[in-house]
Amino acid sequence: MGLFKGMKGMKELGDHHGGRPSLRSAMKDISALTDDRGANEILQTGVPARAIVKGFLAPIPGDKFGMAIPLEVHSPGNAPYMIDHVVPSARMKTPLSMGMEIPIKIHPTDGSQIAIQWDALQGSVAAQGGDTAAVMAGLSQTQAADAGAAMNASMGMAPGQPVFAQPPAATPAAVDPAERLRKLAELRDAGVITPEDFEAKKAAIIAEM
Amino acid sequence: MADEITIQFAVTGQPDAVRTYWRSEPPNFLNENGYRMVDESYDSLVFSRTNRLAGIVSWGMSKTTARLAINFRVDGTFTKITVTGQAPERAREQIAEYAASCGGGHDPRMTRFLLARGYAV
Repeated sequence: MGLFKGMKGMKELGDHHGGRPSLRSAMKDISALTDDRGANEILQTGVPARAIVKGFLAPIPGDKFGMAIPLEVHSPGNAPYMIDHVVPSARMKTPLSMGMEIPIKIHPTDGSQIAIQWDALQGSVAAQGGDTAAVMAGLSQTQAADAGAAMNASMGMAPGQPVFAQPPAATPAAVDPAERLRKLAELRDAGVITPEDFEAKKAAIIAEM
Repeated sequence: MADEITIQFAVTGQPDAVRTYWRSEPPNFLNENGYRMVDESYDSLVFSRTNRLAGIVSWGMSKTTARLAINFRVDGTFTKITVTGQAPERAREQIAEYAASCGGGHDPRMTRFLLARGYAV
């Protein structure tokens, strides 16, 4: 792997992803990628609290480096309240999933601005047995219906709409009745089903015709 | 990654009391290796150390900051302490010794991994 081969590989990779951006565009991307969106300042001056993740990370249209996630903020001495927090993607150190309890700091004068304490959260996730275990523990804290509704909301789907379209189930009636009778007879002759089972199924198939 | 450690062990006492004690009297493996507390949450303390020599020698290109997150979690009448993050070899040895003095330590991620696959741990 020489230098020129490496450079050729980089060019091919760039072309694969739509070509290299202009220098100006690349600088804008680097700036957006490294922007902490005020998190460090809140971590320095904010009030420690906790939050419950109430949904799933969702991409924000037009924002390549931020993800939105609904949080229920539990601030000391105040009633819990909901915010839609924008996570700078490059700052993430652990998964964030529904039901997880996470350490945060709240802006001293604006309760809608928070920062996630990623290092402390890493400790919490490790204590639970790692990323997958923490995610599963969070999901077990919530109702399956809530999780489904949150997944639909994050994907912009109507309540109750299945997340993934299900293929139509193959019904027995879709198969040729004569073929079904032949297979039933084979099962009876092989001793897999009794003659009584065969007669009952035969009657049902004939009734469907 | 290099210099990483994750270890869990138990001490007597409730998490809030143990965390308060560790905040005021950090164990030797933190003090002797230059770790200073930089953040805390309702269930964790975060310590950080800066390796100035590595930063100078590498013209700022080398990793010069190591962090350890320490989580305190109730476990009956005990507190489960989980230490995770980066530490130099000497510090990792001292953390392991500390865990051994508390009855032994283990990596909770590995324990979970083995249990999920039916191994007796």
